[in-house]
Amino acid sequence: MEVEVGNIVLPGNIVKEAESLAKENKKVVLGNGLRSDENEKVVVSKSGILCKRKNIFYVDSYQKRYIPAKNDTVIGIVHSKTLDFFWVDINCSELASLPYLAFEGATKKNRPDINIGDLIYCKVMQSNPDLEPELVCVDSTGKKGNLGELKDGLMFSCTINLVRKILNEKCTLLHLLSKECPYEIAAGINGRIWINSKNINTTILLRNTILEAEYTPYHQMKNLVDRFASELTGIN
Amino acid sequence: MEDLKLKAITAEMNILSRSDGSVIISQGDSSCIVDVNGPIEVNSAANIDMNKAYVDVLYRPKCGIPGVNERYKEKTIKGLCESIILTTLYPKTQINFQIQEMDDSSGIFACAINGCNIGLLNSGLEMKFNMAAVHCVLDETDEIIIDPDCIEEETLAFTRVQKPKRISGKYKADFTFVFESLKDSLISVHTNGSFSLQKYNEALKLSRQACRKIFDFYADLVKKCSVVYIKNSILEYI
Amino acid sequence: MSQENLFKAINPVKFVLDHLEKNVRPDGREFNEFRATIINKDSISRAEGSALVKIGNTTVLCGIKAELAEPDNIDQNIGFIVPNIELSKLCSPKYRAIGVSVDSQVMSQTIFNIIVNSECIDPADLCIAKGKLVWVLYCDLVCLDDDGSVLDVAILALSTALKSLKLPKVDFDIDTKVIKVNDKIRSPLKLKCLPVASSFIIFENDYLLVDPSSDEENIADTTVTVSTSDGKINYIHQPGGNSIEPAKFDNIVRQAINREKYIKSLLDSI
Repeated sequence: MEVEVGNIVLPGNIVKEAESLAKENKKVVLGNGLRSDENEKVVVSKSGILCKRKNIFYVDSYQKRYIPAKNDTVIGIVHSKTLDFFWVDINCSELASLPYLAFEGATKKNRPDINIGDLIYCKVMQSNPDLEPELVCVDSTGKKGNLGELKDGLMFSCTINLVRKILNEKCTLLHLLSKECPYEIAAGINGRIWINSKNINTTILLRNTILEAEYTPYHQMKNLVDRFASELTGIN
Repeated sequence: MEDLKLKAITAEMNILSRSDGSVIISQGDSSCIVDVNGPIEVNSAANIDMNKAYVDVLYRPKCGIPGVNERYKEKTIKGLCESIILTTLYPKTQINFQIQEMDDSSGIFACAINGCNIGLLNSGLEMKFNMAAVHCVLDETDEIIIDPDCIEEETLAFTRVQKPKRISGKYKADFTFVFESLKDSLISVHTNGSFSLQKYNEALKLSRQACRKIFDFYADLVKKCSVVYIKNSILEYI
Repeated sequence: MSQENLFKAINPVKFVLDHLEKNVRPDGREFNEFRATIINKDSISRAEGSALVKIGNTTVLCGIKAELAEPDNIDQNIGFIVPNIELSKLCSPKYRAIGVSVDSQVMSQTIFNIIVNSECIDPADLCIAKGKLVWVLYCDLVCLDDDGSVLDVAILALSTALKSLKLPKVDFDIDTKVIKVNDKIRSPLKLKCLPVASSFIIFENDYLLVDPSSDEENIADTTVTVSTSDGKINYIHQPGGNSIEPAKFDNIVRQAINREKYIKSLLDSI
């Protein structure tokens, strides 16, 4: 069965458009949920909505389990320490490695002060299904930027779709919330969100509001935040 | 055939909050919960496969402890799931299925297979194609009934150790056919009772027509869920 | 390692395919040729019925022990039959060394389904006194060598053992509940028919091979097992793979029925 961009797709459907573009020698990128089979047909492998951005085709699908991909920023929990690595749980099938030297200013002598159970906001450096994922806490210039240990605050799990949604530039939620109260947020694409604010009551309220946003359409975000604001005045 | 009617199918995805994919499916009065988790860490070193994911299926009966009959179902479902999931994409991992039978008024096996497929769609694991199972029986007048409901299944006390369920004397045989969605071709058969080749082919032909309805149901279900989960996150398609 | 074995180890699929293109199987058989069948009846003297069956290298030994028991409350005048097959490392490295493996449980269930579906035994024949005393037939099968198509061999071993089964005469006094077993007078069990299973594989969607060896089984796309008794199908199992065209399936059933006739004549001759 052939499908077009914008359609609801099921595994086994064929995307003719991507195939014909490739035949015209144009560059086509197959993203999440698409693969080309042995006959060079583009076949859908996930259920969801077929989307296209420039020459990138992908399926927007529902997912809870994280599958590591290069350059994703994720929130990890330090599971154990060995001679050269931290082993970090990033909600995928195995522990990811985070070298001691992958921190800003770290040397063999000067090791980062991180303990088991700490939260780390980091980037996926390498993701090969045959190897364990590798994480870093610095960018290409060696600076730490936003990455690093997350102190205090509250981490909670959610679906990957929710993280994608709040990070979408069209989603006004985080911006609207910041007008009501100051807070810090780190959204890991592995289905984990960390927030921190001036007191725990506000933090919990923020968490509930963010979780509620999963099923709220964009145009109703304002109502959601208004409700948040009224509850905020109630507790403080 | 216009009067081909299946039992009412209903399914609700994402009913368990902590599993990666879950569904409660009911076909007529038969229903089960399927829970899919994966890819996760392989729990036993003996099962690590360097080339593909290891699929583990647990089938829990309505009451009592699982026995040999459940093992048989587990093995069949495992084989089917291995052939529809792109297991090579998830090497050295495990994909767990847990199926809890809720109510059985015939065709629970087909219901469980369909449930596994919906569970997989919900979990976001990459698949080659969909599968649909159709159950039908051959009654005493040699007539084929597709997807019957409320057949009295009697426990056959033929053996002490294993007590298989067997449809009562009114029915000669029952078939469970599993089809794939690309060409509607048959990927698995499971039969019970004795029958002739002609009747088998007849049942197969009818079931093949019926499986389309199940595939349509999957498409419908995914459509409904996509609207809720995904659609409002991409403004372009509102 | 000889050149042939080397080729087989490097590319087992092409090894078989090259043979099939020349219309011969790696072991020299025709596509529709079964391996030589050897049946030995009454191999175990202490069992009530027994058989040793060999098809090619695949060997299964079956022994039936009959015991007396009280019937089930649900259906008081039927006896029990309990098949159990053991698939251990002994017969093939693919099985687990210790404990009851899933494979053997599944195959035991399959054997049981075939016996029940073929209705070869009337369970009421196993009843001695209604509601009081019935026979339990423990059919223990041991696979000694697994070189493919174990189910076919197991079913044949069980059928032969059931045929050779002789149950002693039992007198049961309902009032005094005294059981007298007379070992001297033995009578065979009434068998309506005997199920015969035949396995087939389809290779590269084109070649239909009967009675696959384990090498062929490992690389097959589609495996299908058909069990027939008196020309009627009582079990079809296709665990996965590709679909089979109706014409090919008719061919499979025809071959299974021919095989059943041959096995029947073979059993009658011993």
